[in-house]
Amino acid sequence: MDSVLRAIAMFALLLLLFRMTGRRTLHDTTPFDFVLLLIVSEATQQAMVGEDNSITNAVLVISTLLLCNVGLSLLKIRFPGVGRVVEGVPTLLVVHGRPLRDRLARARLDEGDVLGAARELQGLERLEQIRFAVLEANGTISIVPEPSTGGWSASYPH
Amino acid sequence: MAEAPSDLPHAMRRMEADLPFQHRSWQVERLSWAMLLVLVAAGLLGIFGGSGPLVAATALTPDEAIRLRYERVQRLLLRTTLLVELPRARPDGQLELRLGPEMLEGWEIHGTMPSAVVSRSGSDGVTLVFETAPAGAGTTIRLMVEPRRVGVRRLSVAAGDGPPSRPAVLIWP
Repeated sequence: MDSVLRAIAMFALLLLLFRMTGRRTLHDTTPFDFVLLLIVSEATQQAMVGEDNSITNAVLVISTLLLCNVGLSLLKIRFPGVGRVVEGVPTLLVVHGRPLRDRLARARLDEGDVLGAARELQGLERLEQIRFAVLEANGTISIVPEPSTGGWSASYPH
Repeated sequence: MAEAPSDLPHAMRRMEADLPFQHRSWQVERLSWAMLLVLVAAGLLGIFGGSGPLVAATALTPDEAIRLRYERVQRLLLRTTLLVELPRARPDGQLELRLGPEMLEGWEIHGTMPSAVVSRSGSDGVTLVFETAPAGAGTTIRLMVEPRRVGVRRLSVAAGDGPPSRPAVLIWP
């Protein structure tokens, strides 16, 4: 029973902590972020497994975590509000080439991030070529180019 | 703050309708960062056990026969050392420590240094007998203990038949 409760507690705690730190956290997968992720998983593993390194315990913990994940996805479908709270909502960052600076700052982004996404996805060079840039709920930046640029809509994991 | 124009396509207008929610999320996010900062500072101070300036504590038995040095904040299953000091010399060269039942419920005793020459259990807990130097002032007994219950628990250590010292200890999960 202890393992199941520990796994549920850690699932809820991690969900809360990663939501607290914002959308950028897991999508900026720099090498340092990758190392950070490994350290977090190591610390989490210790807290969940405790002294019990048996296969039985591992199966229990993994099953609990997967079940929590399935449960959360079902909750998100049943109650759309849950999805909004857990994952956030998409936000417009650039409209017709005009950056909405306050939103960019609050999302811990700058024009360089948007231009980077525009360059990689659309081959665009200037903000004026962007019709809409959207910070998606999953942390990617979507770019909709102005029709005159001849690009196509795409999203970029920043 | 910069606002988006009103002539947006339908999908973008729906997105803009969620903007108040997004603003609240950002506010909560900033508040959470402050909370994380407080959490880390509290960790450095030792409010969550482990180590830190607020962790170490001492307690005397009412008869001042022994002094306990213990951690007032501990973590479940994290072994810790409880020091039992004799402030005064005991002429018989023996120290009888009585660990009360409430302490035995909250902690598992993993060992002592030096080893007890006699240990016996009874309804009032476990009694451990140690040999000390005849002029035993300054003698220290180390008890290696492991918290097994979460919450506020009380240690219970007495010298012989004397009254126990019962300091409270907070044990985090």
